[in-house]
Amino acid sequence: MHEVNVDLLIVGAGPAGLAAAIAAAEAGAGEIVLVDRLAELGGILQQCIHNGFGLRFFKEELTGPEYAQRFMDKLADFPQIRIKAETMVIEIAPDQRVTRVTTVNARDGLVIYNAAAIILAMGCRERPRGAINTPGTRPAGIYTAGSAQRLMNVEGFLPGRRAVILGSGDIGLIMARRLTLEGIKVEAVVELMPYSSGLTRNIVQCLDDFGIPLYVGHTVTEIVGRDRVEGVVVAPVDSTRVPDQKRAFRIDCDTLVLSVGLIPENELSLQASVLLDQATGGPVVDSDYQTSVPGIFACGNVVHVHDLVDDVSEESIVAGRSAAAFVNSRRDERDLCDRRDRRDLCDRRDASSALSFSEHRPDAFIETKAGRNIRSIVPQKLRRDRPTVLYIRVANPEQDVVISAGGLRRKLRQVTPGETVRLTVAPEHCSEELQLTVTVEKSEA
Amino acid sequence: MKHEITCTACPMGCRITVELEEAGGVRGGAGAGGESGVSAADVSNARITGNSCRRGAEYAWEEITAPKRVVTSVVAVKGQDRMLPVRTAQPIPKECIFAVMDAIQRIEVSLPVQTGQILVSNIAGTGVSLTASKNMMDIQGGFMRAR
Amino acid sequence: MAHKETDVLIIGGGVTGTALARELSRYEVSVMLMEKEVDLAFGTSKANSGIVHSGIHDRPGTLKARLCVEGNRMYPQMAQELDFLYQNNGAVVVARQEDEIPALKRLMEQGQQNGVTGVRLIGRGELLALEPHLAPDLAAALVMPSGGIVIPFDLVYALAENAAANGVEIVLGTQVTDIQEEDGAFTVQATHIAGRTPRAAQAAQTIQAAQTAQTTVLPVETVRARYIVNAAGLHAGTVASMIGDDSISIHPRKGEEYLLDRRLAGFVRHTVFPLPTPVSKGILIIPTVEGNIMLGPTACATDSFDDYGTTAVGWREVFDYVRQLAPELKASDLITAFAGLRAASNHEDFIIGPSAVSQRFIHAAGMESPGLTAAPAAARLVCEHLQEAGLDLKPKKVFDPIRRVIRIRDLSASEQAQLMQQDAAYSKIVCRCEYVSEGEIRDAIRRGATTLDGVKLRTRSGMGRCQGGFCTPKIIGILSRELGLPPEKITKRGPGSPLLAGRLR
Repeated sequence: MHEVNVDLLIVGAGPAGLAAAIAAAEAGAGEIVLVDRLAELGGILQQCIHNGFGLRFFKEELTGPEYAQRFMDKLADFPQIRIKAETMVIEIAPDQRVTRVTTVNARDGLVIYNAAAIILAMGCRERPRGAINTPGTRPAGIYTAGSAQRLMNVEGFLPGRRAVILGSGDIGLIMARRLTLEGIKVEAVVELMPYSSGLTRNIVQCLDDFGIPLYVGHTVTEIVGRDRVEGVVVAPVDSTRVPDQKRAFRIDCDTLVLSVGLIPENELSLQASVLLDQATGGPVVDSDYQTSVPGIFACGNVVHVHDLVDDVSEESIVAGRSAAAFVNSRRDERDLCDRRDRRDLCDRRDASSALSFSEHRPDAFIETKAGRNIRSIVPQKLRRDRPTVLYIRVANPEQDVVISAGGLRRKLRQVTPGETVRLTVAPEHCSEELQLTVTVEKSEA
Repeated sequence: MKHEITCTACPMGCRITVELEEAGGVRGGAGAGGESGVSAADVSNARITGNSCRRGAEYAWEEITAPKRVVTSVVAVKGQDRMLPVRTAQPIPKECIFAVMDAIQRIEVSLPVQTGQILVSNIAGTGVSLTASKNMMDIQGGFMRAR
Repeated sequence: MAHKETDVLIIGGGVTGTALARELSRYEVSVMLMEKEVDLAFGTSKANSGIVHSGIHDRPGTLKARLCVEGNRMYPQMAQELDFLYQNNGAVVVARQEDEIPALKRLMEQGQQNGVTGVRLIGRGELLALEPHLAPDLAAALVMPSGGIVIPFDLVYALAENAAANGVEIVLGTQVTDIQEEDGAFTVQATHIAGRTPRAAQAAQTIQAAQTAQTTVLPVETVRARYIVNAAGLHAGTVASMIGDDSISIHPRKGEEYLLDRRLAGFVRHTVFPLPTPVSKGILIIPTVEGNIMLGPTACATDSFDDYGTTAVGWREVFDYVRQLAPELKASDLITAFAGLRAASNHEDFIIGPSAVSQRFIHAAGMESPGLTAAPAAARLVCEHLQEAGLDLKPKKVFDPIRRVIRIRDLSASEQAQLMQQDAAYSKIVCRCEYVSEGEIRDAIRRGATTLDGVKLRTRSGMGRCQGGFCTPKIIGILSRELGLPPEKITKRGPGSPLLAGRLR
């Protein structure tokens, strides 16, 4: 076991980690280590072989692997970024001046990195069957959408022959088409909510194109089959999502694909005592994407589940740059330490961006607050000295609305929980109060 | 002929109705025709309603007359235990989706492969090429097949 | 046709059978254990609550009471020898109202009669000091310091591996179909099963991958055994009837269990029992040795020997009940659920002893709760019966009671580093929720796992909060490599449960 000092360590080389690494390198962060569990960089994008990525960021419609490749190509320009693939981070422990990150891989065994700053970019995981507590048996043939996708698109295996998909978010819809293209009969897509949270485009191109029925306001109430799935029982639900067993019906199938939600993967963040937001399931971050722990930044799906990878790249660039600024200011600080007393140091730190919001004076940041029909807002703490892009998720679908954040108002034809609203708030939109409330209101004609 | 389609040009999802006159008969250019931006010749025998914008009318018209889709899938790689993701470089006619899939199933490529490299030109007679979505330079590990 | 001979044939590879196998492996006798499932512990033992009971619950004078208390005392040493996870966490029985206190006292007296030591009655204040997350309005509790917890399948594999290391032959995926007694020995016919039920076989047939069973198919196997022990659990009645003994009928009682995230480690320290009901020990809050909290079990009689489904009704029953004991429990912490069938019989007590038909056919049946606790003591009792029936049990000159297994998550950082340097497979983390390495999965396969569930039960990979979402393809890959089978032949739990339907290209 040995210890290594680095300037910046990034956990995860999916879209968030890749964009953050490049941005940090461009901003002069020094020596960067990019760690990923898998052999291949790009994270989940490598199995998302469908098109539709990058319309905003690259003004082109790319597939997932193509989108990842753009960043991987750029990565090659920065020799200061060391890639540690097939490496798992097992512990993150903030120390006095550094963050200690314990990693393990087959070549080096256990290695501890002492990093001046780290960026959490672990992404998210899928909710499993157990979390939704579907009654019935536990046979082979129950896959989360991501597992089925990996099996098909990377490993090249068929998960089954006849499938039912539970969950009609974009991942469920994309998998319905993917299974169909490979000759698997998709008997139905079942959605608990009275509407699909997927894009209309995906409803049309993934279901309608192939005549796959979508049952909204329904759920799987039982999984049947002892050894392999033999079928599922589907029933309509009432407004409180309680199934009506009298109207239940059985669909024969050998595979159940679950697309029932994503959860930011924050076990390591919790270990590092990073404060989490109940609404997003991810770390509370400021405009710099710094968390409550100084020197720990976070970006991508570990912060909040995104619907567009373009947004991940955008915020990860901010996180990368901020982490670089943090590393550089700490380096300046080290130089200062020899000559000045503590008080001077504090003044200097306060002026720099090196402090986390948890260390600042309480009024140094404006706190975003969810008002009517708002589920979550990222970032949660806004700097007063520059504009910040807000990613806002609404609680319920609504048409003809005005979304407002402080002094900023924008009319929208429609909002849905499946689509993030992106809003740039500038300091002038914020009044002197300590918080900025975001609300959705019905538009007055 | 009356077609009802859901617009996918934006997340609004307008329900657009396109009415086509039988045998090229003319039923005025009223409704969305004038402001749709679709050429007068195209819409001379169509009536498009329910759209909220010009893009909607364009989408509806294409969806009725010549719907197109990008097809993405994977192909086998010689000596490799991981699939190579591929795409049609442009959208292909919707009715050719399964013909393109049939062709994709028969392909086996050799490494190295670069992103954007044409693997098959004119796949399944669509006039569109099939390209690699990923750089694959040497043998990479999947999880499941023995190397 | 294979023709084998053995002194003792144990039918059934659950905790009863494997504990006996290990006990018999101390002696100079040949022992074969036959299990119809493709792996050990795949029946009732898999879904056991894993409680090492103190022995207060059972009626004095019964085998249940005696063997439970004896077995309980054997666990600490057994855990040390066999390296399975065991924790002497203690247990409490809580009274929700004042008027239940007399029942607590009766239970305490019963425990004392059974020889359970250290039991004491405590009031609300002391209970809340011991278990601060329990409801503040509980009236009183009994504390049983000898209560413990294990992971039932971990225990079974530990017992079986040590038995095998000491010479026991374990035959899996082989179902006894016929037993004939002649010339002072039994001739036992057994078949390898290709699919469990016609329905399952049918479903599997739609999947090409399942067309060939993965195990070597020996259609019929004949074993000559001088003695037989019936530890067939749910199927003990069927096995007994093969020698014309119709005294046993099994009436399965289903129990559903609900497992919560390890985030809750330490939520309760003791296993928390309510006052027992006439049919069961009630619905419990069970801390597991791995830090999860388990809720359950339900107790519901069923006609089916095959009914492993959980139900919405079961969940409500469990959750509504435990919330009365610990109101802070949240449904959102649920990570998985499962159901098991208790092998309850037509007898009130365990059925341990020779069959009326043949003295050399010993039953170890009806091993419902506290069967797991009692198993090591029951094994000794069965040995006594075998001796009475004429089997000479002469201790082996060399018996190695020690079994060890590598679990990297239990090692210190420097121990891990050392191990990883010796064998890089231990540094390839496959299951990140439970921190399980490729090396441990490989070991599990070499120790006998042939299926995804077999790997999961031996290593915990796939048991964590993501429930195998990430590691399943990797484990299929490792199984495929180690077993020399293509991935599409890998199953979840044996024939009929293929994980994949074939190759894409």
